[in-house]
Amino acid sequence: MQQRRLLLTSLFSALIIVGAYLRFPLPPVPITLQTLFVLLAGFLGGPAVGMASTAIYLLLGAIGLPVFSSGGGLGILLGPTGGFLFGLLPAAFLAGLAGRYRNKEEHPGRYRLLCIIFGLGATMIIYLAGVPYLKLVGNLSWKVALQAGMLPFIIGDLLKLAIATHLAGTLHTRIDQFLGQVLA
Amino acid sequence: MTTNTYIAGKGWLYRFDPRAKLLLMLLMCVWFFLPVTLLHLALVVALVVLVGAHSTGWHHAWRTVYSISPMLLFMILFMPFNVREGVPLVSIGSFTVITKEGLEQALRLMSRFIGITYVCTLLFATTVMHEVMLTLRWYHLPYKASLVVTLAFTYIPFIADSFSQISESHRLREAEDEQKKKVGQRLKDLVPTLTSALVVALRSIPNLAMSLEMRGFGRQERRSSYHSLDAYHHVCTNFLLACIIPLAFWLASMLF
Repeated sequence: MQQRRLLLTSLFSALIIVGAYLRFPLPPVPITLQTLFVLLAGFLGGPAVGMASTAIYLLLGAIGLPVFSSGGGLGILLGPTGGFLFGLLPAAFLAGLAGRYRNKEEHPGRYRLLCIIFGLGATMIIYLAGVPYLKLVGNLSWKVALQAGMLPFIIGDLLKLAIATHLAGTLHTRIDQFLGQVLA
Repeated sequence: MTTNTYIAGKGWLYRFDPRAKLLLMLLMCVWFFLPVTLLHLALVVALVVLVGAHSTGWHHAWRTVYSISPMLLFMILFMPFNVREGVPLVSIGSFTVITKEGLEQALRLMSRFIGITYVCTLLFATTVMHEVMLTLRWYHLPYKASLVVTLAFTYIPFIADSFSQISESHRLREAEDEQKKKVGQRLKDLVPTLTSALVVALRSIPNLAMSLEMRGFGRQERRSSYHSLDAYHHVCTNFLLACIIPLAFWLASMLF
C-alpha cells in the first residue's frame, strides 16, 4: 500500500512539473496546468499524497531545477510570485479533504460537489497566500497587487477547477482500484 | 527536461564537490540578502555571472536571465512607480512618476533575483542529476523522499512525451485548423487529451510498482542501495572554500 502511494506521489510530482510547462492560450492571460494537477493530486490521492507531491515539487524548484513556469531556484520562491507557490501546499491539503470522501462510487454527484467546494477553497488559499506576498515583496498597493496577481487569473482558475473536478470524477475508480489492489 | 539541465564542461565548478557546491549555493543565497550597498550587490552578481558563464558558457547565462525576464519586466514596470517618497527623478507637473528610492529598490530586487536564480541553476548546470540526488541523500533527505524524486524524474519525460503524442493525435483527427478554433472549442479539446494522458500515466504505475517490489522495496533486505559520492577529492578544502567565498565577498563589501 505504502509503495503504491509513493508511486502515486511521484506521478503527481511529475505531473505538476509537466503542468507548469503546459500553457493554454486563454484570454486575458495564458494559463498553465500546474494548479490543475495540484488540485487533482488532492482530489485523487488525498491530503497526504497531494501535499507530498507539492512539497517534492517545491523542494526541486527550491534547489534550482527549472520546474516552475518561470524557471527554478530560491529566487523564484522568494520573489514576487513565491506566495502563490507556497500557497500550493495548503491548497493541496484542502483539495485532499475532498479526496477522503469514501462513497465516491455510490454518490458521484456528492463527490464532485465536494471537489468543487474544496477546490474553490484551495484556489482561494493560493490567492490568500499569493496576493499579500506579492504586495509585500513587490512593495505594491493592494489595488495593483490584486490587478497583477489575481483578477486576470480568476477565469482560468475556475476553468481549471472545473476540468480537475471532471477528471477526478472520471479517474477516481482507477486510483481506488490501484490503491486497493495491495490491500486485497 | 531533466536531461538538458546539465551542461558538459571542465571548469573548476565541475570539479567542486557537489555537497560543498550546495552549501555554497545556499550561503550565496543568504549573502544576497545581507545589508550591502546596491553597487556591491550588483558587482557580486556580475562577478558570479561572469565566473559561472566562464564555466558553463554565455548561452546558459543568457537563457537563465531570459527565463526570468517576465518577472524582471514586472519588477521594472510596477515597483518604481509604487514608491512615492524620496528624491524625484521623473515628474510630470506636480506628480512624481519615479523616485530615486523606488528605482534603487527595484534594481536591488532585480539584482537579488538574478543572483539567486543564476546561482541555483549553476548547481544543476554543473552537476549531473544522480549526483544531486546523492548530495541530497548525504544531507539526510529521507530515503523515501529521495525515491519519490528519482521516480518523478523517470516520469517527467514519459508524461511529457505521452502528452505531446496524444495531443498531436487528437489534433490530426480534427479537420478544422487549430488556429481558427474558438477558445471554447480548444478548451473542450483539452479535456480528452488530458484524460488520455492521465490514463496512460496511471497505467504505467503497476509495472513500476511491480519492479520496486521485485527489488525488495519495503522489506528489510533491499536489493538496491544508493552509491556514495567518493569520486570527489579535497572535500574538506571545497567545504572550506564554500564558506570562505561568501565571507570574502562580505568583507570586501564592508571594506571598499
